Amino acid sequence: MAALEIEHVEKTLRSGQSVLRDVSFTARDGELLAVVGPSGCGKSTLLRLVAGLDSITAGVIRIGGRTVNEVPPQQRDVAMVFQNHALYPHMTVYENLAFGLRVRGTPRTQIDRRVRQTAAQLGLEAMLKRYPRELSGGQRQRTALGRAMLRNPALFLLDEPLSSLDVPLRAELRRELAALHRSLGTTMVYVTHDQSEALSLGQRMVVLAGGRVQQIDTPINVYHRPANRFVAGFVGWPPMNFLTAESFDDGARVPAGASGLEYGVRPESFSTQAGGPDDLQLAGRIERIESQGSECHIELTQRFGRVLARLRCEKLPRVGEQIRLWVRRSDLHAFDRTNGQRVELMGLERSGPRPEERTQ
Amino acid sequence: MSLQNRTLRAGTYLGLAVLAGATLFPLLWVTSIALMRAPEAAAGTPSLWPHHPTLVNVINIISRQHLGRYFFNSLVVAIATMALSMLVAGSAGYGLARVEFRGRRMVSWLVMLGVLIPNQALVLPLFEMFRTVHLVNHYAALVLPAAANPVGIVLVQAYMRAIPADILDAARIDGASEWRIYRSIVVPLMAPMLAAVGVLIFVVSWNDFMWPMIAMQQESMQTLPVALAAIDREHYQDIGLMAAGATMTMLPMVFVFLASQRYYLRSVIAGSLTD
Amino acid sequence: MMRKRPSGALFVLPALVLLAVFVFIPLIGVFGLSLTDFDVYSVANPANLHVIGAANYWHLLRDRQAWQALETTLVVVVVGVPATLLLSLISALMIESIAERWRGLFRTALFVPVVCSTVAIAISWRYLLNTRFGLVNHLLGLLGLRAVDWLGSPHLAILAITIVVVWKGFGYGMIIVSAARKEIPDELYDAARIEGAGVPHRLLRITVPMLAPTLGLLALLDVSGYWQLFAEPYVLTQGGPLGSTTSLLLLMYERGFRWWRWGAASAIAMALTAVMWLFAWVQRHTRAGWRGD
Repeated sequence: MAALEIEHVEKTLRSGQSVLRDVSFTARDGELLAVVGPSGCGKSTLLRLVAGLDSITAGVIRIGGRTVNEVPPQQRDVAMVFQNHALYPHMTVYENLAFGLRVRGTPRTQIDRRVRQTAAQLGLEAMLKRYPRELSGGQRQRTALGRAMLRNPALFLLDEPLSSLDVPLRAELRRELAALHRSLGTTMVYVTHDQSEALSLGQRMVVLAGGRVQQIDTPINVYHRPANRFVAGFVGWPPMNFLTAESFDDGARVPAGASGLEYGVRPESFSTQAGGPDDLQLAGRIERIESQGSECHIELTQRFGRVLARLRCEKLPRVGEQIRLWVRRSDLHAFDRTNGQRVELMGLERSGPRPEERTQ
Repeated sequence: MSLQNRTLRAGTYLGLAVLAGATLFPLLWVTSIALMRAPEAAAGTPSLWPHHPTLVNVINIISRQHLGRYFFNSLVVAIATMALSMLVAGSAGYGLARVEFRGRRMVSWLVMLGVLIPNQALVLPLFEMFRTVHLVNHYAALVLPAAANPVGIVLVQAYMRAIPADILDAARIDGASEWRIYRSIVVPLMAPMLAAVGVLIFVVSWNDFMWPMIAMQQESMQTLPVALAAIDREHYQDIGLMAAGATMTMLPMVFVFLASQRYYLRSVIAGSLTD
Repeated sequence: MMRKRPSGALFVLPALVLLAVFVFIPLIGVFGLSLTDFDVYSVANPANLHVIGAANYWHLLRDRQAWQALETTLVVVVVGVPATLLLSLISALMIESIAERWRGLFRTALFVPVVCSTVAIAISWRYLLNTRFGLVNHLLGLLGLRAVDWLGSPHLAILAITIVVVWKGFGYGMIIVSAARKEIPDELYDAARIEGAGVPHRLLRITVPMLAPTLGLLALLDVSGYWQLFAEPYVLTQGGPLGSTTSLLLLMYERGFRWWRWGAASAIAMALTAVMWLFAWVQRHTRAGWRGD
């Protein structure tokens, strides 16, 4: 077990294209850290750098306190689970699991014992003689996980391990993975493009975009106090609305520096009734109602743009009619127009996250 | 099915049957002649079938013309060329497709250029080279140039590119050395294409003519096609004898092809896709 | 890069050495030789060797034998390649249109000549084409036609050789076209049928344009193969009658290994190589147009 420390890591390709710029963060010992970002943000590159599959341009990577910049992958004591499993197609499940131990010259009896033990842990005992092509998607993923576990590494690297699975299976394996992490207690770095996966799985999350770290915090804090406009828009689904002061009926009541600020409101922060005297109001014509079952996504148009609200479906006006919505002042996020950074406004301090607000 | 469709289909089968007949007939006929005695083989009204089959031509060409010796030479050269080509093409194809090193693009480009050089145009300096090192009339004179076959490298390279690099990275993280990765992961993965390249080169080597004729001046070192052409210059009047020689030169490759058709055709098809 | 270790180059090294020694150095060698008067006297004593610049090439331009060899080779390419392509295309389309279980049989049958030794094939065909007891003439006789001296008359000999070359070669293209035909999605044909396109239309508007890139590549393969014509005339006609079937490569071989005029032979080899590069260049630059269909 070990912490992973990334300090001022840069990665520039031979073509001169910069993939990662001054990336720094730490995955604490035993932590499950989710790295999330849109495709092309450099998150997979980051994982490959940690694994030692590619070399860094500048900076320091430490695993368990040891600087590993020049250490080849097999000596870094890391295990990696790849997006499309990367199982050896010409080996059975057993051989796939055993390969890493075999190349290290582990005694045969010990290999056998550990392979069987891990297979049992993952429910793969019956599959040991099969080839990867004879497995279902979930079984392949479990095999890939097992291969990583068998090595008993100091650090697990998971590169979008669930993205090739269908949705119900993904949820199931996500739970299994969380349970596995608890029982193994090993540090895990989990890369994903799916913000909901990062929110639900990570103990903390790193939001990466354009090769830069945007925010590092617990999922709850990232969700409720996004560090900038990008994070605010990227994390949470459906995405946050960005409004100007004029969008509100009483724009004058929106605090300070209104011209230089942009306001973010999450779709679920709207309500059809006033909660308190301080609430802000906003009105618009309903353009579209999309039922999600228990809730409805309401799209309304205003003079200043479109707004998406997530509301209970009962007693809603019909499409084409006017609707009036209220937002608590503490649910308003403010961002500087020039640099997109979060601005903490006087009188807008949040009372802290309300548990029922959490999506997922 | 409409009448028109049925006619079309019948016509297709008929056309194919005629084409297949025209393709196979010369080969079957020469085999048939090989089993005829001289008068029947040279009869004014050609005989399609040996009415009094005999092995005399086969026996003659083996005993008097030492066909066994040439057969042995061809076999040695073809097997050695195949083995060396597979070793060379396998490692180079993998190296060019999946290992980073300085100058990789340059080497890739050189290999592609190699494909475009007609190797029969190189026989003059090649002969001079082998003469200088006294390797004319040695198997090496046939095996080494034939193993420098860029087509095999290109085929393996293209095949390796289709294999996800993640698998190799997984092995790297699993702790395997470069050599171990090559032996335990890469070779098994590219085995189908390697087999295809092997069969292709085996057949090409067996049938090669111009360079073996130049490089093997000593009769006892000649390969089958070279010896056959030489015997032909002297005995072309002996139809049965030459037919037996031709048949015995072709038949082994027909059998090799029939036995390894899957691999052989794979290399043909892949060759048209790698461009 | 972490993986940029010497091991990468080691994988490629054997191939590189072989290619350098047996392809690239000889290529430079041919070029070098073509600038000299290397002949039988130089073999005995290198002191007799002189660099004569482009003289061999100038001689070549005024050499009637060379022009005739060029003409012979071009005839085989110009007549043989389209015939081969057409046969490859037709046989592949026929095979792809019949029931699955018969395809393998026909494919194998049509491919067999490809794996046979050219020398052996040429010997076989010489008997088929024999004036007195050859089967081809016998068939012509049955049809009431006169026997033809296939290999004895200049015009027919080159035709006969072209026929043998095409017969041996088309099966190769058949396999390639057949594989390419499989890649054309069935939906295209379904869509065309719904729009009312009949068999000829589907062939000309879908199949042939979709196969064009493959046929283009195949044309290059066939051209470069036929351009190196050697064993067929060597065995069938020894280049005759009257030099009418002496291909460029056969001429190079005779100048080089019968008369030991290596300088002149090397000039032919260089010209042969240069024209092949021209073919490849033309093919590469016309392909874009075909793709655009």
